[in-house]
Amino acid sequence: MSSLSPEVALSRIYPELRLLLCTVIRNGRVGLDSSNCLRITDLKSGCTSLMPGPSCDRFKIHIPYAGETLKWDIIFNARDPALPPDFIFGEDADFLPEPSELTHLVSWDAGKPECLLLLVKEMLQQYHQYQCQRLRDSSRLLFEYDSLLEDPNYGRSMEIYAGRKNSWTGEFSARFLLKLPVDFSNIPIYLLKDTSLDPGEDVALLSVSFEDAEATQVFPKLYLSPGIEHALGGPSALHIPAFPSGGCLIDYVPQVCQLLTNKVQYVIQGYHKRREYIAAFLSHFGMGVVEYDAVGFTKLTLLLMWKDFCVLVHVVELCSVPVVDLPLYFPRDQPTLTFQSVYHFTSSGQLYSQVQKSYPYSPRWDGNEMAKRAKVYFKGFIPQFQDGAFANGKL
Amino acid sequence: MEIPEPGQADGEERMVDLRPRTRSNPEGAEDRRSSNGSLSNVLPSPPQPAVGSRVEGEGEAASSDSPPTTAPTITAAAPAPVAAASNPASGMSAMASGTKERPKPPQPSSLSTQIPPSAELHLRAPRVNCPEKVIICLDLSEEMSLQKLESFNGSKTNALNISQKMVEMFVRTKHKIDKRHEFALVVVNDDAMWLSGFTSDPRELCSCLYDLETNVCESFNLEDLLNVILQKLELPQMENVQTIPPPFVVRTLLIFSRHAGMLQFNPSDAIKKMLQSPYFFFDLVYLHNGTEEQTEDTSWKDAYASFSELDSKGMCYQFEVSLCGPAIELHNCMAKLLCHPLQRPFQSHASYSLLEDDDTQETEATV
Repeated sequence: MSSLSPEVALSRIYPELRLLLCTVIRNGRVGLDSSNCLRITDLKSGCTSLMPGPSCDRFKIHIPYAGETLKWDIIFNARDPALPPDFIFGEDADFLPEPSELTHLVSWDAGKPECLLLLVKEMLQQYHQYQCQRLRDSSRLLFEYDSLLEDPNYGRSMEIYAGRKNSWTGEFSARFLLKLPVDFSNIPIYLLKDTSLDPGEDVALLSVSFEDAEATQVFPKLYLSPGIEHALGGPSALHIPAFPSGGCLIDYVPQVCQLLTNKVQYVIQGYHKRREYIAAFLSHFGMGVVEYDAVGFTKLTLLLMWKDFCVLVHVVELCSVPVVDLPLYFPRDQPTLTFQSVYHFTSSGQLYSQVQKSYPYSPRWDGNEMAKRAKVYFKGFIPQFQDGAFANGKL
Repeated sequence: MEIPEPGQADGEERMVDLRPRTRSNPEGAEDRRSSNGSLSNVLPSPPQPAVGSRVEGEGEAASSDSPPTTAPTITAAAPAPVAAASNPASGMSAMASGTKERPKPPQPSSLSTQIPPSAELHLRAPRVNCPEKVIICLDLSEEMSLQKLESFNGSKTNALNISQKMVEMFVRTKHKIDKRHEFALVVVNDDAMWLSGFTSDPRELCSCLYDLETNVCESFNLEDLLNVILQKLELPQMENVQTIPPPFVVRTLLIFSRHAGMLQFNPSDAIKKMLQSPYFFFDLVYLHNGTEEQTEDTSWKDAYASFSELDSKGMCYQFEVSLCGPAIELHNCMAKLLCHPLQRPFQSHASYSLLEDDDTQETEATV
C-alpha cells in the first residue's frame, strides 16, 4: 500500500495519538540514512465502526535501515491512549528487545510528542545489536564487524543487516551500511543548494553487501546525499574501486573515504582557483567588466577596446566582447574564450563571434599570470578578429 | 577580497584570508569584516565572496580615508568638491562641449576622492550577477529619423536604425551571458507605451523592434514613462540590502533624442521610492544635435544634466552622443551599457582600453 501523505495520516489517526505521530511523520529520521524519512502505511482502527470520528490507532511504520526497509507494526489502543504501544517486528520473530532497557518505554509519556520517535530509535539500536549477534554465524563477517567496531571513525556509525540463511544452500549474507567520516563543511554553499528537495544532512554512506559468508562476493555502493552528489559533479562523478578479493572492510573503507575526501578537496580547490582567476582578471580588466559569476566564478565577460593605428582611415575604436566559460575541472581544463562583435551579425541573425579554445595556457600559472598572458593574447588576436568581423559579418 | 598586485607571485595567498561561504562559514568573507559592515569598513571587500570588488576603483576602500563631506543631499548636482569628476552633470559642465564621454579615470592618488556623496547614503547591494529586468525605452520622436549619423561605410543613417541594431545586439548579448535576464520594450511618443515583455527570449523582443515609425512629438512626459514602468514592476525588498543579493534588479535604458529643455519633473512618492531603490537603475543614451562646432545651441546640455536627477545613487550610466557624428559612438555606448549594474564601476571609473599603457591601466585598477 502506498504511503499516506502526512496530512492524510494525521487526519485519520485517533486525535489523542496525533501529537506522537506528528513527530514521527514530520521529523522522523532515525538511523544513518537521514535522507529517507519514516513512512506510515496501513492505518487501521481497533475500535468498532460505531466509534465516531477518526479512530485509527495502529499502523505500519517503514524504517530505512542498512539498505533495507523494516516494516514494523505499531499498535496503540484508542480506548486507553496513554498506554505505550505494542510492536510487531515484521518477519523478525526472533527479535525480542529487552523492555527494561528501553528507557522511553519504561518512562513512557504519551503527552511528550517525541516519545514515540525516541522509542523507535531505541528499538532500532537494539535491532542493530540483534543483527550484529547474527553475524556470529559467520566468523569471517564477525571479524569484519569487530575490526570496524574498534575504529572510532566507523564503529559508531554502522548499521548491519544479517540476512536469513538460505535454508536450501545454507548461505548467509549481510550488509554493512557505514556513514563515512568525510568533512563536507568547506564545500561552497552554492554548490550544495541546487536541489529541489530539502537536502537534510550532507552525508556519504557506504553500503557493502556480502553475498556469502566467505566474503568472495562483495558489492560496495556509495550513496551521497543530493547536495553532495550535485557538488561533486552528479551521480557519475565518483567511482569507487571494486572490493579487492581477499580484502577486508577495515582496509577498504578508509580507501573510499580518502577518494571521497580527495574529490571534495578537488572541488573546493577548483572553486578557489576559479575565484582567483576571476579576481586576477578583474584586477587587469576590471574597469571594463560586463558581468561575472560572483557565486560560482564560472564565467566572466569583458569589454575591451582596441584602437586602430591605421593612419589613412578614421581612427575607429572597436569593441570586442569576450566571454570566458570556466569548466568544472579548471584549471586542468582551459577556459574557452568567445570573442563577439558588437556591430556585426551573421547571416543567421546571431552576433558575429569566434570561439578560441587553444590559446597559450598552463594550469600551473596562477591567476595573475593567466590574466597577463590573456591580455597579451587579446592584443594579438583582437585585431584579426575585427578584420574577420568586417570581412564576414553583416553590419 | 583583496585584489592581487600585478606580478605578485603569491597572489593566491592574499586571498586565503577570506573564506567562501560554506556550511561552516555561512557568512563567508564577512567573518573578517568589522561589525558595522558599512561603506566605511576598512577591509575593501564586500560581504559576500564576490571577487574583484571594484571597491578600490570606486573609492569604497578610501571612504575610510576621506570621510563623507557635508552634503547629505541626494541630488546629483553634488556641491561637494570631492565628487566633482564622477558626477555626470558636473562632469559635463567641467569639460568643453563635444566630448563624448566621461573623462578617463584620473591618476591613482585622486581616485580615492571620486565618490559621489550620495553613494555613501545609499546602501549598495552586493556585487552579484543576479538576473536583470531591462526595460528598453525607445524614443520615437522625429529626431530619431534624421539622417545625420555616419555609418561604417561613410553613408548617412538615422538614430532609429542604429538603435534597433544596437538593441538587438544588447538583448542577444545579455541573453548569451545569462539566460535569466529579461527584457521589455517601451516606446515613447507623447506618452509611453509598453510594447513587449518581460521576456527572456531576445527574438520576442526583436520582433517588435523593427516595425516602428517616428513621428512629431509635442512633449516628453517623464512621469508618464516612469508610471508605465512602475505599474509593471514590483521591486525586491530585502531584509539586508548590503549582504543579501536580490532575486533580480531592474534597469530602465532610455534612448532619447528630444530637445525638450530642462525636464519638468515632479515625481510622486511612489516614483521617488522606485528611483531610490538599490535595485533600480535608470540608464540613458541621449542623442543630441550638438557638435564641437556649435556653441550656440547647448540647450541639450541642460536637458542632459537634468536627467541626472534620476540617478539618486550615483550608480547609473548616462551617455550623450551627437546625432551628427559617427554611428559607432552609439554602438559603443550600448556595449558599455551591457555591464551589470551591480558589478560595473562608477561610470567615471570605467575603462575598457587595451592600449599599450598597460602599467597605468593596471595600477588604476588595483589601487
